[in-house]
Amino acid sequence: MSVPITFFLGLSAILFSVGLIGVLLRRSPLTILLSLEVMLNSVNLTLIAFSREVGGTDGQVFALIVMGVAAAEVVVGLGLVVAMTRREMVLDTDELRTLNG
Amino acid sequence: MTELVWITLALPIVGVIVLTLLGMKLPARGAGWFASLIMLAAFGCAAVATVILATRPEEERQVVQVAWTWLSAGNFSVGLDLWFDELTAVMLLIITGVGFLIHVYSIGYMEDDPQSRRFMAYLNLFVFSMLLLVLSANLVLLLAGWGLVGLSSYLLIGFWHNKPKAIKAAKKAFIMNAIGDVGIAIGAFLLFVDLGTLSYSGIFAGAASLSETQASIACLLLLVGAVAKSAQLPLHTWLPDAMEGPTPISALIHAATMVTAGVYLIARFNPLFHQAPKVLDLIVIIGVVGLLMAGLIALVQTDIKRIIAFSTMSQIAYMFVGVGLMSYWSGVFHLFTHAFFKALLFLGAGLVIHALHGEQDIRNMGGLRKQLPKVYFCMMIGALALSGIFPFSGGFSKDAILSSALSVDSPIGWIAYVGGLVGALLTGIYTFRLMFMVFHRRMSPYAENVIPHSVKHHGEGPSTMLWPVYILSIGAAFAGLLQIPGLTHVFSSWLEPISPYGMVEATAGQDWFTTLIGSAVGLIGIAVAYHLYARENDAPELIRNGRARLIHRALERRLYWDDLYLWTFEKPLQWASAFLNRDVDSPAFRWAPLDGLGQLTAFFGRSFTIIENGIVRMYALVFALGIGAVILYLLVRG
Amino acid sequence: MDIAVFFLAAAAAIATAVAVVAQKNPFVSALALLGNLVSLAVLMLLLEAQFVAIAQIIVYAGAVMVMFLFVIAYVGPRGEVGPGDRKPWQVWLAVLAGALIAIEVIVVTYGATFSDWAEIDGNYGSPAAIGEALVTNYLLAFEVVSVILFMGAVAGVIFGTGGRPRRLSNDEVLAKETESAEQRRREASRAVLDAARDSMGEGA
Repeated sequence: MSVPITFFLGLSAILFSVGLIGVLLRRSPLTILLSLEVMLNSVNLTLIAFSREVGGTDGQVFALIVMGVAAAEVVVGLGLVVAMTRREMVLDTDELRTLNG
Repeated sequence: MTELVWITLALPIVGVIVLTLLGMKLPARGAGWFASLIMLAAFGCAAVATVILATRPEEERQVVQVAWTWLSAGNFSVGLDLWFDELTAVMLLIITGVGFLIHVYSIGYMEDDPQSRRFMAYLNLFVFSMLLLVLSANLVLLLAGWGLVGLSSYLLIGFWHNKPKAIKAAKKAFIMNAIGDVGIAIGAFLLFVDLGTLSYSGIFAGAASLSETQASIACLLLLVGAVAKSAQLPLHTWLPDAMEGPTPISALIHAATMVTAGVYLIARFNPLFHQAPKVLDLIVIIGVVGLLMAGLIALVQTDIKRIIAFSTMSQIAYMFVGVGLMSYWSGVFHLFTHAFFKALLFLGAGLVIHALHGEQDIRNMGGLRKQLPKVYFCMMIGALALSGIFPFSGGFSKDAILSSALSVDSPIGWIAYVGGLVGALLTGIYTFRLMFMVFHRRMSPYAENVIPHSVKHHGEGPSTMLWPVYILSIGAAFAGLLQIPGLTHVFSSWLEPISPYGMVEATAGQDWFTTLIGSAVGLIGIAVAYHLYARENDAPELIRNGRARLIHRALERRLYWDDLYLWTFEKPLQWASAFLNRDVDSPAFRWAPLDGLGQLTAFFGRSFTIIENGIVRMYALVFALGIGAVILYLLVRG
Repeated sequence: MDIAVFFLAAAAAIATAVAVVAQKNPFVSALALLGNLVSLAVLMLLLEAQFVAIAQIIVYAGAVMVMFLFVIAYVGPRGEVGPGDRKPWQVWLAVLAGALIAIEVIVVTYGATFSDWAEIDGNYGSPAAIGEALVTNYLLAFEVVSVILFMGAVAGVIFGTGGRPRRLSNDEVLAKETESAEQRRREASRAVLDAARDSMGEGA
């Protein structure tokens, strides 16, 4: 293949940063979750690129497991969003600044 | 048989768990009956195990069962080991048997208390701890049981936690007992250093190899624990205060079982104490002084439960005399009969208090024998047993201790004998002062107001409270027949094997002689009490204000032991803390450099609130910047 | 050929990622993420990871994103949160952090030497190969992920069902409004008091 691996890694870094900026700047928990997905996917790309470079399946298995964990994380995150909505709370992470416990 | 012992130990803890988890889901009475049935089952197991033990030949009666090892370091290992022998069997039967009766009594006593389930759970916890204490086969497990009974005693004394006095009393009992725990712990360390083992079998086997000094120090430390738990001099001040707890607790923990743990400890470690004769003499001295002092103080107390509490202290002092004279069986025998008659007296007092709606001052009672005839009859049996009148149980056991003293025939024996007889006189006086003040004389105005109403509505008390008292009266009346001098030797021959060096046992002649004198002295005491208190006269006033009023006052203040501790420990500590606070700490922290340090910290704290603002986004930002900085550093460094 | 596909997909991926982050409406963000996932799947195909690419589309784009869209629809317009009181220095620091990490990673990768793409046979990236790896070498990880997913599902149900969805009655709305009005008035009067105290302090 004519594309060098560094291209994939560079693209992955850019996507990761874009997602990171989203997490850092957005206040809606929904958008933060979406930005997190972007970050996770960029890492998946890295894993698969390296897997291809080495020629083994390990990186791909890793990517699948990352997808599984990401799905679990989304479920919990969305559950929280739903719970907040049902309790008529404002969907703004900056408002959640006091801990109870 | 060992399975049965395990079940006995496990049942109460099952009760605790069930009562704690199900708690409010159970009806209050149901929880009470559940806890009681658990105790009945435990008593059944213990009884069957004892019978099986009795059928074995004497050499095989000592059973040590190792369940598993939980601490192991080098050649040191401690496990969950049970030790079941004749002494344990006696203790087991007392704890579960009296425990069962008091559980049943508690159902009636705590009927109106919304938290009776918690009470039942605590009671079961106590029984478990006490069983662990007597069943353990090594010092670590003993210490665990020792601490747990202290904990349950603390919880139960402070059961009415909205009563400040009860909380204070609970704390006092806990702290006093902690002193004893420390004593036993250090004693255990010492024994481990000397012998390299903490198991009973190892200690008993190695005891003979110890020098007298080594053994004496170890025994002294164990004695500290025994004295604290059994409320003996000088760590006795917690017991009278512990009467703030519910009356069934006073009967079970502070009369029948826990406070006798010290006697059990000495009897159990008799091979060790045998190497330390001076400590044994000290035990006798503590016992004699304690029984006289407690008897004197009991003469002037006015709270019905406190009188019985001081009498408990005095009776345990008798047990100390017994075990201190190496007549271990008589000490344990007195422990056995005492469990019956003292629990009986406490439960009877509980019925009286119940009928009078919580009144505990005997000056507000009087003339109750017509209204509470059954309680009067039962308590009379208990009082006669306590005063050591032949043929009630206390007479046999107390006289067994005294005749052992007679047969020792040494100065210490004579001190014990004479002191014990004087103590018997005091016992007769204070016991029957209580009986006459409560049941004879003219009824006090308070009782006149309350009693007719309460008897009309409740009778003498609910049947759950009366039946345990009846059963205990049977025990208090006849338990002594196990050991009639010259006729039956059930107790002494049963306990013979626990001491490898044999025990002191008086001849039948000495026994009968002591019984004669003891009963006579007791009857003299009763006569004195009758003369002073049974009839309407001004004798109590005369005693209070007469020539001996200073002594009377001193006795009322319990011979100033509490004040002694107040002025030697509590007050100096308070003064020192106040001084350190006022003259050292406060000026020091107002000193400019130190104060500046504080200001600096506060300044930094305030500065960081810009980023430490609780917004997760900001923390993530700092986190990301940190990652960037770390990679940058690695890049630049090459 | 490959390079053209790469640049097309990369451009699409970056554009959609920026859209995810920048869009105010979460619905549009979610759709953009869908596009991002598809373009990443193309890149994965380029890397011969057929199975992962298909799983990415079916599981991720198909299932996870649908759940996302459901929640976004459930939440409705409340999900839109504007820039609000975000301070400019926060924006700059966030962009700085992102850019720093991206540039650093690119610098590192360009400075490093990689071996060439490995020689592979037709079996590479096939479901058979991945499946074998999952149930042999990575069995434990596989099982652990299943447990985590299960716990996540339970947690999601618990979170989602807790708390009663409650529409306020008219009275309650009224009470709430009076209360907040009361509070505003109290705050205003406190502000006046504070101002008065300050001026008095200055006077003294």
